[in-house]
Amino acid sequence: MRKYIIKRLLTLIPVLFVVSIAIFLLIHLTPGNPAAAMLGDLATPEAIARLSESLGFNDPLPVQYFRWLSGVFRGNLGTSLFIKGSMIQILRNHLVPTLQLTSYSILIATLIAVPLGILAAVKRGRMPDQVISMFSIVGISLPSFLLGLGLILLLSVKLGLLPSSGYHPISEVGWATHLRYMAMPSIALGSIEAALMIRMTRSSMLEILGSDYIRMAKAKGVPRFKIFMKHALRNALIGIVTVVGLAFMSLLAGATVTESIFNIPGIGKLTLNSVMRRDYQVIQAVVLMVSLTNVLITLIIDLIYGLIDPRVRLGQ
Amino acid sequence: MSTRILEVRNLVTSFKTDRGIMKAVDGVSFHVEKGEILGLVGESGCGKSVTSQSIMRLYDEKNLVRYEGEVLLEGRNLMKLPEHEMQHICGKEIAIVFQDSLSSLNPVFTCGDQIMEALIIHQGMSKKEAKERAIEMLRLVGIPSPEKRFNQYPHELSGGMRQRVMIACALSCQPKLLIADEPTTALDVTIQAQIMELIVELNRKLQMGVILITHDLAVVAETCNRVAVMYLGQIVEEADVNTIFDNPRHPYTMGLLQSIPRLEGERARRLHVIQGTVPLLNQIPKGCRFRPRCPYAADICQSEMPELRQISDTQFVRCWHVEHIHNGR
Repeated sequence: MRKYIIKRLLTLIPVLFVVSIAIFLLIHLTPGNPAAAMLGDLATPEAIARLSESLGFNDPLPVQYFRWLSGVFRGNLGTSLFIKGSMIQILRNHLVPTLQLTSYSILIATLIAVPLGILAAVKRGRMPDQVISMFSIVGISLPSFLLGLGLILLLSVKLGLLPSSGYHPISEVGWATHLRYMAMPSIALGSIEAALMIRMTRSSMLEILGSDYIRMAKAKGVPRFKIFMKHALRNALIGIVTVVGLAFMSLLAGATVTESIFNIPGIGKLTLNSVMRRDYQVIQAVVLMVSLTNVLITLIIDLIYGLIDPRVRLGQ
Repeated sequence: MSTRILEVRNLVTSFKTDRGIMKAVDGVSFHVEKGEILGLVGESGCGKSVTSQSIMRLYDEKNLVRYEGEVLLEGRNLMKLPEHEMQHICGKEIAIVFQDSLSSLNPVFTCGDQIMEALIIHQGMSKKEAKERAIEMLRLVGIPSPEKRFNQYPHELSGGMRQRVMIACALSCQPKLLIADEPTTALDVTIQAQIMELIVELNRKLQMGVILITHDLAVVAETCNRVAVMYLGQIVEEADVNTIFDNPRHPYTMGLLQSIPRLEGERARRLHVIQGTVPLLNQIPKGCRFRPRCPYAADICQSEMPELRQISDTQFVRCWHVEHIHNGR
């Protein structure tokens, strides 16, 4: 098992290498000069040229790339042109809100989706299934910003129940206030993720409910409820864990739109701002971190598969 | 009559499908005595498995299927029981062994768990008692080092071992009736013989009734007391095993018997085949259902369906020409 994990972690190196080259090229081949962006509209061409020279933007791309890469190996992910502090510090500050938002959303999504997905499968073709399926299709089609704006309009403008936007860390305001601020964005994101999860849960449950071992369980006289919750759910978990993992990955990369609407200083917002400001080194660091977490989450999902299903033998 | 464990009367199983209602089993009646092995034979698609699973009401009655007729287990009509009472019958009074043991055992639970389950549900055993009993069952079905197998998962065992585990599951509560639905089809020949021997031995030891579903007539000849031959959802001939083999009277039974390859006799003779294939359920012919494939078909066969008639103490045949056809072999 340990050998397997180490082996998987080693595959990170080529992945990150390729990703870093790709993102480096992508950024540098898009038009726009970071020096010009830094100096603002009134900057003279001479000033821009001088700044470009001093920051090394005029060097050939491979030189710039290897300069950055050697920095990474020494633990230096570069510096932001606009934000103070080390890159690790910047990433950590923005990762915390995103991590919280992601966790709450996934929790909400799972709590909604798994019971509803099972219910839809059990009541296949009948009223509950049709209602649940309708809601999940609406949820999949609905853009998250629309749901977010709708929630703001309803819960904070009309009813005044929750603050409309903003982020307050637990360390400063305590859990209650923190959660009040995070509630709406988490519900907005969670509901959208739930829609997809419902469909996945429903289809894997349906597939399993039609299988021979469910028939066998019935033939053994296992009560209906136990057939669903013990025999079927454990097998359906594989599919469910996959969707949860995928949702986790996509949310950790930053729910850019939701973070913007609710003004949460997370990874999504950092990425958006950095792209607009041509803050190359931040973008590179973010992408590097996102690829790293993605590989780690896939590894964790695989390890969970091994726990659920004895047929999955890792490392062979 | 007191030794009659199961009596099926006019069983009809119809499935609701996109193409309308299909009767997979159409008016089947038979019975099983205590300690008896009844063979249910016929080609694929004849309704053998549907019949057996209808007895246990395993199909989804809310969405998929409608049952008619009576299934009497020691006089009690199972078709009238509510679902929760049926749960006490399945696994306890009637148990089933399916064909494909790999897909019929739940992949995420150990073999031991799956044997213990019925014991805990039906006999109210504690986990410890159930474990002891399960290991005993594994030993009974001839699994070496049962303590080790107890903790293994189905995919870790060979096909023959898995089938034994399934038999152990089925027999754990000492059912009165065992339905063995092609229990050896997925196994190779030597293992087949072992599994059949095991079923026969347990049938004698525990005095339970057995319905053996198979298309392997050699197995039938060796193990069964009586045989019912099914074709397209109906029983076309029923008799004790000697009569079926020595004096079959239905053209379909004769056809089946003639298609067994023989070691003796001329090699040059081609193996007999029954012409055509089993029609789909939405293409059931009018009159006698076997008519399109029957060498003896006449006008009356086209217009009217023959009834299952008793022609001797033990033999029943569904054919218009019983009197003219004698041992076609």
